[in-house]
Amino acid sequence: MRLNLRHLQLYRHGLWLRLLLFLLCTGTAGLWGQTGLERSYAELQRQLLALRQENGALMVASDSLALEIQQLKSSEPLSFFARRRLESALRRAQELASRREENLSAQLGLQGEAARLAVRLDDWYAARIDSLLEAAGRMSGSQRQETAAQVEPLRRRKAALQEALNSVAGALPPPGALNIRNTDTPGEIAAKADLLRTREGQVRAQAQLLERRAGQVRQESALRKKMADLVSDLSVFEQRDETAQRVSRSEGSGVTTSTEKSGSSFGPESGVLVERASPADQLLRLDLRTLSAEDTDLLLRELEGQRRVLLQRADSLATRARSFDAEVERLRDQLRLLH
Amino acid sequence: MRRALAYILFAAGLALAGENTAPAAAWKMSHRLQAGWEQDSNVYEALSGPRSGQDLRLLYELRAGGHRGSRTFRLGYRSGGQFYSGLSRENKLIQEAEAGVELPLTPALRLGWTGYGRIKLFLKRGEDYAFGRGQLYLGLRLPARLLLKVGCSGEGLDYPGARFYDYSAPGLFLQLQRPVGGRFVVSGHASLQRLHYRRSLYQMVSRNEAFPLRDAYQRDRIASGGLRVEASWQGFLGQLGYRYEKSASNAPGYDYGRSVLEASFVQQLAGWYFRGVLTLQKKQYRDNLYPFWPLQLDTEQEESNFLVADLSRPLMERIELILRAAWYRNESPWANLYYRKRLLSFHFELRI
Repeated sequence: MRLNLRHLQLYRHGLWLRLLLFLLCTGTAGLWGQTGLERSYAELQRQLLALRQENGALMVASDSLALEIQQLKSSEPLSFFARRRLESALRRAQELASRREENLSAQLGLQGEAARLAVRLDDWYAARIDSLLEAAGRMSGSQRQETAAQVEPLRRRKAALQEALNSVAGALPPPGALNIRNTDTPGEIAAKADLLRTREGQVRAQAQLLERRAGQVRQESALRKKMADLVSDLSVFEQRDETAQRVSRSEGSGVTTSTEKSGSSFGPESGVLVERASPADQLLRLDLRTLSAEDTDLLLRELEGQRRVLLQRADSLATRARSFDAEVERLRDQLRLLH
Repeated sequence: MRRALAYILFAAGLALAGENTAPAAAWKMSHRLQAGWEQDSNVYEALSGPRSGQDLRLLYELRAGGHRGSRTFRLGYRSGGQFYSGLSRENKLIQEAEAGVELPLTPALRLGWTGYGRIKLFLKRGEDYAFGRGQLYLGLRLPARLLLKVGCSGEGLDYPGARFYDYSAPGLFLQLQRPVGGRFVVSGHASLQRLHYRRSLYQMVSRNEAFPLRDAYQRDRIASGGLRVEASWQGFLGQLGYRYEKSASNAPGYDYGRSVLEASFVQQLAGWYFRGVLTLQKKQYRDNLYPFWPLQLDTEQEESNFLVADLSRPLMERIELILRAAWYRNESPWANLYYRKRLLSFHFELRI
């Protein structure tokens, strides 16, 4: 069949229509995905707020009970009725403590879910900002300004999200904020000890990831050196072939990552937003294939340094969890004596 | 022989100097010393009647790299010697040096320079030559993990004993690289070079006769482009590339197209390293002439097809044993005529 200009135009129109349909579908899906994520995240935040409010009320009740128990204890020896009141107050305190434990456990679960959603949402914001900036770079004049203006609200939402992420520090309260208060019941202290142990597990898992990554980097670096050695041998004694030269160039090649002023020597890759990520996360996200041989050595040192820092942190968390356990035991012994 | 001794002393001096002057924090240096025996099936690279021989091969290599502020430096030096038993005409020394520096202009833009030089000295014949190349480039990190490298280059070849082969060649090049997935890197490259020979331009008078023109010199334009894929996973690193090169010359006989397929790999297996390099080329000359137009005097500059495979294993912490086999089918100094050779060797390598 012979193709004429009209066929070609129709074919082109067909292509354009299909392309437009595809873009509409993917765009709508992206938008739906984003709004769906935002809705789910907002719902989780609402549930978390309700739980926190409930926990606050429980704490107030617990505090007033603790005061009442303290007053009753101080007026010993107790009369029959006073003793009954004290026993009743202790029972209620026990109930409140178990309700607070349930509340904390529910909060923990929701925080984990919220953190996972927040990371996905954060990635979406980063990708959206990147694509808008890239599109703005290709435009000019008012179009460029309009596109760039869309970036600012996204950046604000991303910053707010990062703040929320930092405040829960990966679905858990910051370890420094976990202290024993005078009004804490043994159950509450035990819950805090569990939180510390969970956090310790996370930190050790991250240290293991860094160790595994360092192993991969070492292996790949060794392979590149072996290849470069073979190429050097061929280059010196035999033919200066193009393969050899190219392999040798790639070994110590090209454009290296920039040295950032942050804690780590390695900055994020271009186009990938890793704002406020921990140094360990930044190191894990680095693409070895974009590094020169010199930067690979630096990367190995950084990985080892960060791993040591994480292991020290994990040890310190374990020590604190053990001291919390000891406090729980001490308080439970006291309560047993009281009963 | 005195010349050989002088170069060996120079190499040793450089190694010691490097060892003593390197500031430990900013520079990282590594040395490699290799000594080995080699069996060559065609020492003189003859088209017929090959003569086999054995030789002692020595190699010293120094690699250094480091940072000073935001600048990155890279230095390399290699010194090799090949000494044949009973075929001293082939004894030679090779010196190679390279250097590179990169300077960040912005977080995404880098300015870089690299230089490379090579001297080959035959100890019993006057076919020594020097070759040099320099590149100035800009490296740009683009969105989507793209790396763009664009720059200009210059190279030159000088045979003190024969002006016929000498040339200088300015050029331009471009390279685009992108990691794909977690295991691959794809890169494309293109380059354009203009070779200015010091040889007179010849004019054909018949199929096998030519005479030189006065005050006219040969000029070749070589354009090349290609694609390369690198893959790495679990102890394997491999590269596969294709390149097409087209040479257009004002002299008859030098126009050709060349397809090149290149592959290399290294595989680590239970303490052993298995490495290999393969190059397959197909060269097609436009003019149907008798093959009497020498392209390069040094046949090793005219690589055509080869396969090198080697197996290495550490014997001690710093000492390694290497067994290597290589097969060549190379274009001789006479265009379109090929010779074959096979090399078998074993080496001990010391790393410091």
